[in-house]
Amino acid sequence: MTARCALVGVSKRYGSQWALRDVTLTATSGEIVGLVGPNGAGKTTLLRIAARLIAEQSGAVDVPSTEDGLRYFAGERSLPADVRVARWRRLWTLDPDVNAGRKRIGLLSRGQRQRLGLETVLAHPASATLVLLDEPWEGLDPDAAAWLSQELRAMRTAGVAAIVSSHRIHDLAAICDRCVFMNLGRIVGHVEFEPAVAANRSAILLEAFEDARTAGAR
Amino acid sequence: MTARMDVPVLRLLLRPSPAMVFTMVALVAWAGYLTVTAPDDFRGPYIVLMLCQAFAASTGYATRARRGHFDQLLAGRRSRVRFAVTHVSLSTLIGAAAWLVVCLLDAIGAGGHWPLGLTPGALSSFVYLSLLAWAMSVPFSRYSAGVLWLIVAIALAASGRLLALRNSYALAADTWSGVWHAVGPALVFPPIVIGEPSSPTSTVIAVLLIAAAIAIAAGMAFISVYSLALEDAE
Repeated sequence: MTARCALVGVSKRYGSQWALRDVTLTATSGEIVGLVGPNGAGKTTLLRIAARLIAEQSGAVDVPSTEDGLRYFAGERSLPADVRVARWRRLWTLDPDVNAGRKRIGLLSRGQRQRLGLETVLAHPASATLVLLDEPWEGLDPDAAAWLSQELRAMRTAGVAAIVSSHRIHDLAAICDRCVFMNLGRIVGHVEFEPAVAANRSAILLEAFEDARTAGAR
Repeated sequence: MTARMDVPVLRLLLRPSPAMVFTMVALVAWAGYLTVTAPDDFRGPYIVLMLCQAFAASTGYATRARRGHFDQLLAGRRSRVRFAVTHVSLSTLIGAAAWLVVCLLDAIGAGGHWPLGLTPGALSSFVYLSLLAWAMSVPFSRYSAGVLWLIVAIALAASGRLLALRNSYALAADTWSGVWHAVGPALVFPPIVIGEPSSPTSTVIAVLLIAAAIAIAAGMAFISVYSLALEDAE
């Protein structure tokens, strides 16, 4: 297995507040790593450092992906609201959306924007090596959520590594190979799933998350 | 995603507003009118074009970057220099294109004489203003540098200092102290260089070009070095 993303002892501070403290995380090809944690845990900062969008204060970041191979999506808010949907789809060579017409992205529903952003990032999967998604299921309807899970599974099969942060435990449990729990900028626990075990993943994840929270609170 | 997408995505995100396009077209039309009616005095279109360029080139970076609009272009990059070069090129493009068209009309009107807009003084002041407007808007949002420059211009005019700057520039002697009397006004209010085309010395032109180089370097350094957190980053 090739390491597609390796963060070693990474720390990041905003002003006097630590967003990440001594975080070590790797993702190898064909692996989906879940990130779970309360708001403010440092998940977004971790993903943005892995995407080289912000610089770490200390530690080492090794992301051998090329620009084309690394895909990052921060959520529907990161799409430009003033751009027309049809033009955006054409730009990223996505199939036309007849329902969107001449609408601007800002006039789409939250779920439609989220889906559009995910389609943009997950387009041309053959060149992808590392996918970093921040709360990708937020706002998606059940069909779109199933589509996203299916896309991620297909990418895993193709050898793509993915790190996905989410509060949607059930969706995350259904696709990830292992899950990392974060709190107050630190990794406080993790759980690894047996590939053969498909049942009770959500329960296992929730139980491990509770254990990690309890341990972190102590 | 890839550097190949820089131009198409930035062309979309930084595209000038319809009002700005209309203004530029109107300026070119004005220049065309002058070609027929008053080919000896093209200073008006050049000066107004500089004012418009202060807004057009002021496309902004940080506000969009904090919203994540550039994430898909910047993710995974080890260097952002190419992105920054594309950003500044596309930001200054519409004003530069209009400037060249006005120069062409000026040349036609002047019967083949070298147009005012392509004299070293005028060209250096336009380049300086364009790059300064771009660089000053990089830490902020669209039009920020244009608005700031307009406020400075109005404040100077209201306090009577604009005329003093112009006189200082026009009457500057070809001595070291005279050069400094010309450099200040040219840096604060570059259209003065167009208004008084006979005055600038090569030192003033050199200072304008050095200031332009510093401005573009500062803007590119901001894009390359600063880590901007998302507005609602956890």
